Amino acid sequence: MMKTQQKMTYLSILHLIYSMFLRWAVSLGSYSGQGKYPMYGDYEAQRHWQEITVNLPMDQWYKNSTVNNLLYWGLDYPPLTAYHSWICGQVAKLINPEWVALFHSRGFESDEHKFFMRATVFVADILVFYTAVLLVHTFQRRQSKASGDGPESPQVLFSYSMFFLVYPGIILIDYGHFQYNNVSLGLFIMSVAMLDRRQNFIGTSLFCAALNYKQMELYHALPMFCYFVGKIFKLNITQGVKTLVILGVAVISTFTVVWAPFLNVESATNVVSRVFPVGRGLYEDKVANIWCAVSPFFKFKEIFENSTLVKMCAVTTLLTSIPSCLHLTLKPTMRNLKLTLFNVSLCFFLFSYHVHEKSILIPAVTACFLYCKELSLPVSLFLHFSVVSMSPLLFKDGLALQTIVMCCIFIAIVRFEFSSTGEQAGSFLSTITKTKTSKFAKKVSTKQKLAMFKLRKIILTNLTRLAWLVSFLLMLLPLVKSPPARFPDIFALFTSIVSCGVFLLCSAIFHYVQLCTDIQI
Amino acid sequence: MVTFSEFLAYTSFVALHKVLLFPAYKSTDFEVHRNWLAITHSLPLTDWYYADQSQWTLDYPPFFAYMEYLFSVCATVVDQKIVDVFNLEYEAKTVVYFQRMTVILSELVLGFAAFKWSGYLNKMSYNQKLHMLLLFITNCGLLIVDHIHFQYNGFLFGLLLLSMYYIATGNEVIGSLYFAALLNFKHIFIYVAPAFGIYLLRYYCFHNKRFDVVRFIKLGLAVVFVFILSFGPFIHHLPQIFSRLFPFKRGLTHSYWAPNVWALYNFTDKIVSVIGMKFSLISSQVNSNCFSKGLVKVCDHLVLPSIQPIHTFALTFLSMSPCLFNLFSKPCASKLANVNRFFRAVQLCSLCSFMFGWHVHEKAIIMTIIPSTILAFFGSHNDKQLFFVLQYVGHYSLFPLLYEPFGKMLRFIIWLMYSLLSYMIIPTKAVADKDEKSHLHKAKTLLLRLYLLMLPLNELFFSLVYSWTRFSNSHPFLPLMLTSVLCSVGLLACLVCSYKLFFQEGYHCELKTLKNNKQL
Repeated sequence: MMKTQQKMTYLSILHLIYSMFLRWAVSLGSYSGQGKYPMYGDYEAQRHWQEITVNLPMDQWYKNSTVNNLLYWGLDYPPLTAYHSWICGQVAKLINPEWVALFHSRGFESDEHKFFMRATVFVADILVFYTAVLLVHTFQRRQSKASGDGPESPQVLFSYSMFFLVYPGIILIDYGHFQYNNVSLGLFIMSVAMLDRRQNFIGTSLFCAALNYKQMELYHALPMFCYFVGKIFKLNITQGVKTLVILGVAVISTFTVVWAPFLNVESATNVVSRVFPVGRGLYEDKVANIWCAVSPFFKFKEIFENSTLVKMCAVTTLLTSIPSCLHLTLKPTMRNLKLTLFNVSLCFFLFSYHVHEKSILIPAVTACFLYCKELSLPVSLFLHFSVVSMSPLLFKDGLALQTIVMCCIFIAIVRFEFSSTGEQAGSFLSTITKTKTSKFAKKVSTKQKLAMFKLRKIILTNLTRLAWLVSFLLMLLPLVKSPPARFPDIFALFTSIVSCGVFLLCSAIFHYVQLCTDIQI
Repeated sequence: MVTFSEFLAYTSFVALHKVLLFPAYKSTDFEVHRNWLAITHSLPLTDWYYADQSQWTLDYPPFFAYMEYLFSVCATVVDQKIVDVFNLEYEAKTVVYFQRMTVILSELVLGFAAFKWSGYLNKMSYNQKLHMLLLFITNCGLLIVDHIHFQYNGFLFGLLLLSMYYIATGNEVIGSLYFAALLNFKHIFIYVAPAFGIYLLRYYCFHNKRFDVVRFIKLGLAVVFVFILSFGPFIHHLPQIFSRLFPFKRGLTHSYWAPNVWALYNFTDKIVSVIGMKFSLISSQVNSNCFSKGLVKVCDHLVLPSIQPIHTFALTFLSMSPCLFNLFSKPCASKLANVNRFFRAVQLCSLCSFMFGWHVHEKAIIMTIIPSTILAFFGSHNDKQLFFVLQYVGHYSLFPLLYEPFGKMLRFIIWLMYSLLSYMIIPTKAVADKDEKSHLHKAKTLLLRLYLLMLPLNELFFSLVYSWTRFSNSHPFLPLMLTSVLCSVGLLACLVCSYKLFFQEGYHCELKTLKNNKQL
């Protein structure tokens, strides 16, 4: 027993280092806007923020002025991002002041600088994302010890946290395209891990910190709110008030600390207007949500006014979020919280206004929480297609090789570490049909039931295989064939439509799982 | 049993990671091989070894040239410009992807050899077999040298392993065919040829306690056949080929000292001369030490006597001879033990020539590590430990091959990963030895641990701290020198340990034979 424990520890460390290898191997590739004068891309945006935050006083960061042209990659994330940029910028200044010289450093590119930028992502990853995943891992391990599961459980448990570390989406966007999604997502994972340990104060502050790093974390705010409302109503008055006070203090104190330098009316409005830009379109590039997917058939953008569109988006998003949120408020357990976090964030992605392709990372990271033996099929399908949906973006950055290879590696890991598609389909089907069969059990004989099950399993397995195949065809097509001149975006549109279909399907599956089954997660 | 489909699955999974390394830094060896593609494709066969359009002339034996020709035929399908002799330094994506792909595909031979080896003995568990396969196909040294730095070693080691496999399983003729072919791909493998020669002579040609001429002729014909295939078309150009294959214009050590005895020798020379100059025992007029300038040319030592090629050959031969002599003169009763001693001899021969050879490249250490991988699985507990230390130090000594920032990061991560993987083969419950509790043993373990800890610390210090100190400009060669000296100490200890294990096995053998004789 001791021996297996030790071996598991080695294996865990090996997996950790392996995930670092994947990150650095991807980081060899190009980044967004590499060598593309005059606007470059997200890489230049991050570098520019370092330049701004290091050289200008705080109240100028979000303000358009002669020294800070907001049209050239102005800061549009909340203050925590700005602080992070400031720290990175200080280090950059120490190594080579040219990298962050005001004005003169615009569009600076060199191999050393690329390494420096990649290294800052890595450091953030280690400090936030890896720490968060380790928190999840240790909690699950402790829980399995408490419940006294079989000897093979550590391996299975480890696999859960592996999903976070080898999920290609975050690696490709952060180390390829270049962003710091790992910070906000890591803070979010940490906050859920803390809520798992019933550390409500720390959990809430961490979530507020995530919100203050990237406003996109608002996708998760509604479920969090519903969870605590449900919790407080379950308690008696004194306990409820106590919890409410704790949560209030957590939220207010975190926000005050982060916003302290901007706490006068003018700066605050500057920041807010930067962080929530109204007046941008329904969507920019092709994105795998409803509005973009139906655009070939029904042009919302042309039929409705922008303000009507905003309202429409808000109403549909809220309406689709209601079922899972209501369920969570009535039964505020961790299982329901995780499922609702996924369902609601996916609804936000599918229906809300001005969505970026990269926003799919938010539901994707939440999906990693949902991994369990029964749900491995839909979870891995969703994670894979979340990468596929971002492939047009990644291909534009010159990361076609990395994207395709990472997708293959991910599928291979799912197969090696977990189970084959057939097994996945089997365990998924048996749990899904369990609740149903009880009603019809008397009508159908066991033999027939078994035959039916086998047939369904075969169909599902082959459908999944077909989905893998289609996804790779979608990615390979733009590499082999150039699109017809009349429709330059046709392949990206195909990808969005197919991915959107898969996302809708996943949304349906997980709503069903949450509302109609009692699968433990 | 690891099935063939499993083997394919694992190999392609690992290959995916190698594809991910396509955009990584590549050394001048990449251009060398591109140039060879061009030479073999565009020039008539007779001109191959005369071509000098580029400074990277063809200096591998003919089989390798034939292989390049084969690749070049495929290359024309991808991009015509690859095979243009005058298109020097061509670095388009097509050529990079094509050449890197050929490395990965040719490495399948190594994977196949590893697959064969995993079926060698049945006493191993499934997990062990899988572990061995993984240790071969994910070899850290090959990742660094082949897939980042760029060379075709994986394929060559595949041939070496196949040849050892066939010899070990009693197909000596096929084994020697493979080995002769290997020699005609890259002549550096001549370093391990003595072990092959002695083993085949003693354990194949001698049959039933007398010399079997038929077997000897069979073996000889096989080898001669391969050599004729290889050198036959060049029969009129042999002197030119040999002048290309064996250049003697180079110095005792490479620009980065391979961690061998001569690194220690140079280091001592340096230290003594520095002390000497400080106390003005020797004049500082002497051309200041050119060994530590990172140049590839002949240098003279300042204080210690200079070394000539003949000295290194003599030393190499001397250091090999005890094991070769023992292998020849004292056969064991069991075939398995003899084969094991053959593996050890291969390991020792490559290690000795690495430690004492003339102008050794740091990459040559892989030639010791790969055969040691076999011993780690079929040898004793000590072999596992020896393998761990050997690969730990040996792969660490390859670090200077990748010197740009991304390479530094990758080499460290790959090295950590592979070291952990190879540490996991050492059983956690050590074999209960009698001397386990002795003070000497404890001291040894402590020393080993300290030494093992020093390597990563050395790496972290020189890549993170050193460039900020003021020494970094005046002493740019210092990190390389210390790395090389540190590694050579470890490898020297490995050589001693390996010799000890060789004679221990021989001793056990003798004891067994004595016992058997008594019983009879």
